[in-house]
Amino acid sequence: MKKKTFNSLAIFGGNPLFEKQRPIGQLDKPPLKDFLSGLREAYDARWLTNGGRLVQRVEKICAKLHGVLHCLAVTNAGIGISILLRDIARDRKGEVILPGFSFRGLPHFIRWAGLTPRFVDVDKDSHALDLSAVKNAINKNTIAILAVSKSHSFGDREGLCALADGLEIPLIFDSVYALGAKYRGSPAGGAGLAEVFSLHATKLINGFEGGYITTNDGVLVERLQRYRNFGLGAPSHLFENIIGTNGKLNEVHAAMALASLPYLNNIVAANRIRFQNYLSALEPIPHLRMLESPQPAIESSSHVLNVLKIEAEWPLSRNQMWKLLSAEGLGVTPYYSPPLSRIQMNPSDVSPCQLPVSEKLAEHFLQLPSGKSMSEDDIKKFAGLCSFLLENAKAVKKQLEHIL
Amino acid sequence: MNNLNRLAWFGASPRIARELHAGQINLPSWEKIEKAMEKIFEREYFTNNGPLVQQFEQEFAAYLNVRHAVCVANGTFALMIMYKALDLKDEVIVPAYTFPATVQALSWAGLKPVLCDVDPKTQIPSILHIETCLTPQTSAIVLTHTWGRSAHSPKIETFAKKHGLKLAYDACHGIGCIHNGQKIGNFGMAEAFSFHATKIINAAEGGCVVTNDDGLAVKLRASRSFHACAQDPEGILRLNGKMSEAQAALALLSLEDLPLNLEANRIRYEAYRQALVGIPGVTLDDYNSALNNHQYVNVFIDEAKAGLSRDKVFDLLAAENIFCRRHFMPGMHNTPPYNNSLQNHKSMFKSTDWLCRRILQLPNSQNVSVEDVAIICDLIREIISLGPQIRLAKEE
Repeated sequence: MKKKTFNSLAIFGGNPLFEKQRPIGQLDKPPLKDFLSGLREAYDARWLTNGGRLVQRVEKICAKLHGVLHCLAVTNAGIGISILLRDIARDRKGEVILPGFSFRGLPHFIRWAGLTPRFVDVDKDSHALDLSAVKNAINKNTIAILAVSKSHSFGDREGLCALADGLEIPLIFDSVYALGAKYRGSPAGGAGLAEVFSLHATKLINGFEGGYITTNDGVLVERLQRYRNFGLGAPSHLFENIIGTNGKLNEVHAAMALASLPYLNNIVAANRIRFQNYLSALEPIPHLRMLESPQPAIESSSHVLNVLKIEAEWPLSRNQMWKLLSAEGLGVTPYYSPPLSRIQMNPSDVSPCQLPVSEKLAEHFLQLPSGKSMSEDDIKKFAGLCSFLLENAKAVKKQLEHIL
Repeated sequence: MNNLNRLAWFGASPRIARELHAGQINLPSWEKIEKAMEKIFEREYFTNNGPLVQQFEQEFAAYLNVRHAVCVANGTFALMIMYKALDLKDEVIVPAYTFPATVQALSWAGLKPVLCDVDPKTQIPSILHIETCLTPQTSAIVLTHTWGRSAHSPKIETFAKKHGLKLAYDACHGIGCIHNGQKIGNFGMAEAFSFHATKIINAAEGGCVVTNDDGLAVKLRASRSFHACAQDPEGILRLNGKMSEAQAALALLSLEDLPLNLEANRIRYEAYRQALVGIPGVTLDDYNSALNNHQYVNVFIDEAKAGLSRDKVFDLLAAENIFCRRHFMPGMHNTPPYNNSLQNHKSMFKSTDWLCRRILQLPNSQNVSVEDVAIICDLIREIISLGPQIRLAKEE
């Protein structure tokens, strides 16, 4: 329903523009029969976890997909990062450098590995680690660098790898948003010591929950196998002092991931179209811009996230837009705001810090709905709503003062 | 030597054609699974505290008669968040005779596990064992309800209170087991369960912390994900510990089948009990039958009387497609890195060593019929009777 007066906005009691909520996450699903056929195989084999055949198949396919020698499936990406860091640390205490503008789980994964997060600032365009900030942060207590590939950009991968190599600091990548993207024509997966991906339902490969680690290091993968399975296995000096956990991917989730994997390219293609639709629809509207790669000549995105930049000149604040759009039935959320370096959710023993670029970035972005539920028409309706808000900004702003 | 030729180890066909494994692996009917998964696909709600997870939590809490059940991706995550939510510090006393997760989760939670021995009969630490490990740095006692035998007692509770220690349980073996008229799940400050495929409730993987403490439940719920909650406690350590809707669907079906599976376990256990009578050196680990879930059927093999070691019997049965387990070999006191600081204290763990050398867990699941039990026991009897020849063949 098109809005006629500002009072018809849902936040002021009008009917929502979208009757059914448009979810923020990807939430694609494979054909049910493909999932059930994999699940049936596990059922008939009476083998539902502990490195089953389906998990082995996921690992084989994902290693090929990422062009790496090894892939290790895990319960989820978070535990993947924690076991990697535990193996790097080998009981040493110290710091892990990570971007201050990223996913709120990262400091927790680092603490579970017994290490301390050291937040550093990010590049204003790629939102990935700022190389000079990393250089300044490295000290004798640095155990590892946890870099993050953003959904719109890989950042300076080569620079980071060269820096880490030169200083012999283990570098791992949270590449959850790099799946389906390409850097210099190749998929992510083989950079640094290892990269970590997700099979969560809101990501490109829906495995309900799940994750995997890619690496070209054969010894590392053997050690990680122990970490994910309680350290169990034949004794060997290679595996001493591993404090394992349960990091296994189960066969039910593996069946779902296997059913989803063949559709990866289709999902990315549909995402590209959706992103183009967002770009076209917002093109005539000033001061609202979709977040795009700063280096399109060398990288592509899977557009698993659609992120809107609300420029300072836009008459409504990012938080006002968040509330207004949410009320209309759009799954939207502030993008990494407040920045990771000082969010309330951090563990109490993690010290907050102020990072100027991260702080500024955290004020301007809003994550928009992704996935098939956001049709071309929906995107046009969303853009129409934005135009309406621009036209009625003064009245809307005034009215909002009464309720927010 | 002719008699040996009847055994698969010596070239015969395995006595059982399909593989039989220790561990439950009870499966609900395929039709029910198919239907549950169809509904998940219709709802398009795959994870993140979905309706099935919430339903299972309510049903499981009601089954145990506890106030809160907080589900997670696996039993180890349950232990990890339980230890953190209890705000334990420094040293925690824990049995050496337990699955590695009980101890490893303490290390992951930044705590120092202090291992103690167990009573050889109950396979659970006594007050004496715990007292030996007590130091000014001890903050808690974590005990395992090993094989579903309750580790809880008024004495332990009094002891913990007297020393100002928190008390929690690894209840991964304990679904459906009863102690003093109450189900396991009602003891200590919190208890952690597992829904691993080998347990009587099978969610492929899965776990749960149960507690009657409202404040603790709020912390547990918050600590299993990075989603903001209404009552969000600040500063807690969180993980991605979410149970998916698919796991919850399996758990719900498994909970529905629980009475049947408990009864089937009991019948197989009784069949083992009868068929194992009189085999020299082979003794069934005898539970109080009415109160146990019979998830595990364990026998002790006494090499001196049986004439064969437990490991030899294990190998001979594996050749017959009967895959047993030797839990918890080698014991946590012999597991790196926990053995490093215990080099001079090995004598502290006599009972754990005794158990680790002797125990053999036999197959007991939906896939094992009473007839299979008879075949397994006949084979054990035959193997033991052929002991001298087997030893001779080994030497040759």
